[in-house]
Amino acid sequence: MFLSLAKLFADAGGTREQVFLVHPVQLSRWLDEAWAAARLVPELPVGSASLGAPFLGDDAIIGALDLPTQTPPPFLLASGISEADPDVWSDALGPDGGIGLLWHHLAYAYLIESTGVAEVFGEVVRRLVVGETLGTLSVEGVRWLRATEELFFRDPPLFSIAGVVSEARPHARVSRRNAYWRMFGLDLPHAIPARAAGGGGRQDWKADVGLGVNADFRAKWSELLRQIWLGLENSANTSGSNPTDPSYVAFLCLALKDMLNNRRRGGLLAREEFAYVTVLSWFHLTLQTDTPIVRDLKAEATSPADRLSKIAQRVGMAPAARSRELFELAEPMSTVLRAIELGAFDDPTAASALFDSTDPLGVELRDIVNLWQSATGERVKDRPAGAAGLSLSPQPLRIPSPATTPAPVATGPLPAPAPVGATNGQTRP
Amino acid sequence: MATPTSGDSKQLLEQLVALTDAVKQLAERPAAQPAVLESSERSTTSDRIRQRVAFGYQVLGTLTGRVSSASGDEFDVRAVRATRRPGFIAFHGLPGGADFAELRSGDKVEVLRIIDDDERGRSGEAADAGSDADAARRGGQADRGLVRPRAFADGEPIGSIVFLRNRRGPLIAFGPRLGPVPRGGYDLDRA
Repeated sequence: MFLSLAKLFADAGGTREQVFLVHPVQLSRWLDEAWAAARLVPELPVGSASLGAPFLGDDAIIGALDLPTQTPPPFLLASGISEADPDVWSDALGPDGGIGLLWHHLAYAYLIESTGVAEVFGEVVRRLVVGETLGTLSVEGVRWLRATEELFFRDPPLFSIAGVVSEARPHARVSRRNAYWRMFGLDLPHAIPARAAGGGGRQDWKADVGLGVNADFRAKWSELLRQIWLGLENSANTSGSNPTDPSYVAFLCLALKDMLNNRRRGGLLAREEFAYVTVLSWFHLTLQTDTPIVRDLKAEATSPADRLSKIAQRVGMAPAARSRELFELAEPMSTVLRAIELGAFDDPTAASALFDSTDPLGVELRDIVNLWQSATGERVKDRPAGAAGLSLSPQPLRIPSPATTPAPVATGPLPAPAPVGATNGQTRP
Repeated sequence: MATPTSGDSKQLLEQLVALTDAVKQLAERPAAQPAVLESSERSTTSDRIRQRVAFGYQVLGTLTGRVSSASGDEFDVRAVRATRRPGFIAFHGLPGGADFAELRSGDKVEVLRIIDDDERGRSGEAADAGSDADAARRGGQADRGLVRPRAFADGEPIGSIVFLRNRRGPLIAFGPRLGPVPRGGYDLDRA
């Protein structure tokens, strides 16, 4: 969400960093307004019928969890964030624009958190508030620290939409892992830090999820990327055979859509996705440029991954080895998954846009293929190999099924494919 | 430098005539072969679908706050504010050249020409028929306009609004989802 707010500041002629100058009480209130304004997000005008709402499984989830509509004069004050000057309170409801904002897909939070950024900044905040090992901060750095601690390292304000911490789920880092596991069947590549684990943070986030785990996500996503690469590879063919099959790509998109929407029935995970994406977008935004806190920590660099690496070094940690790819991958993969969930590629003609290398969408998919392959080590560009003398079809025999029934989680950790080999200085669980 | 002889000129002229004939035949051929037209029409429809998919993707990126690449503006799709009132929808922040608005909700689609904001007081028929009064807006002089939906009653929600240069495209901007016309009280779209 904070990436959207940063863009609003930039569009108003300011800088993206101004988000960190806004008072945390305004930011907290703004999140509630952003949640409520999601009802204004338009449907996608694709095909013969618009696609879209609900983009969170059930449109009613917005109204079910937001504050009641206020009749004038309002009882609750607006967040009052002024894009012209963050130090001035303006009597305006946010987000501005009259259209509502959309938050990133949970995949964004998963990929950004896979870099280890949340644990690194957790340690940075801890050290900054308990001692002087990291030196002193500038005034802007102090404001970042105050907002970060207030927003993400304490109990959220009562009745806030971002308040997904309670006695029922006391540890945010564990709750996030639970959401990733349910939606993607994936674990984070690093363990919970020993300090947090000692405080009761090591819970089994796979317990009691029942059958609601998309264990087949990674296989289908990789197959989709493989088929898209096939299309991109052959998009300029003027002669010879073309193994691209838009229809099969559409079936894959449909299977992924069904699988992901299965986890969103009745608005499940909508609030959690909102809250977790919000947390990770704050840290992502912090690293996108040489922000005040980055300068204070003497971590100036040219990319988020390099900045994170330098900051992690200051607190004796190491980020994921493939942080650069994960940062680059997060936003494009999020947008593609949102579009898939909305059904933008259900039709073969629409699906063929995914490998149109003359369009920004096709160009972005090419980047996603490269980044995913590099981040995970999975060779999605390779074709299936057959026995000598046999030619294998580029597509498998069967079309993808919407979702397979996962085995119930009983006890003990289940093996999960880890996208990167990072440990953040910790041993693997 | 060699100069062409009269024989060379004659040969060149003959080649030019032959080339002209060939071009003429080529130009006339599609008219005699409707199958080519049909194929071309299909391709146009596919292109239109792909353009809509790409546009929808860019809208998603814009709404999630993505930053465009250094060489492009793919995630800076123009967002137009809209206010729904009994009988009409007013727009604010229209990009230059946005002459048509497409209203959608599920399968229901209505494409309307955007008329000048000053025509708000005129009858719906007269306004929808259009007049020279909105010529300035069509030329990109003003960023306000309105449409008077016929297919969507005041009580029906509108799922999406997109703005087009012509009736069939290209898509150049998008608007919010609109609920039914509020019966007084707090106005959610706040435009």
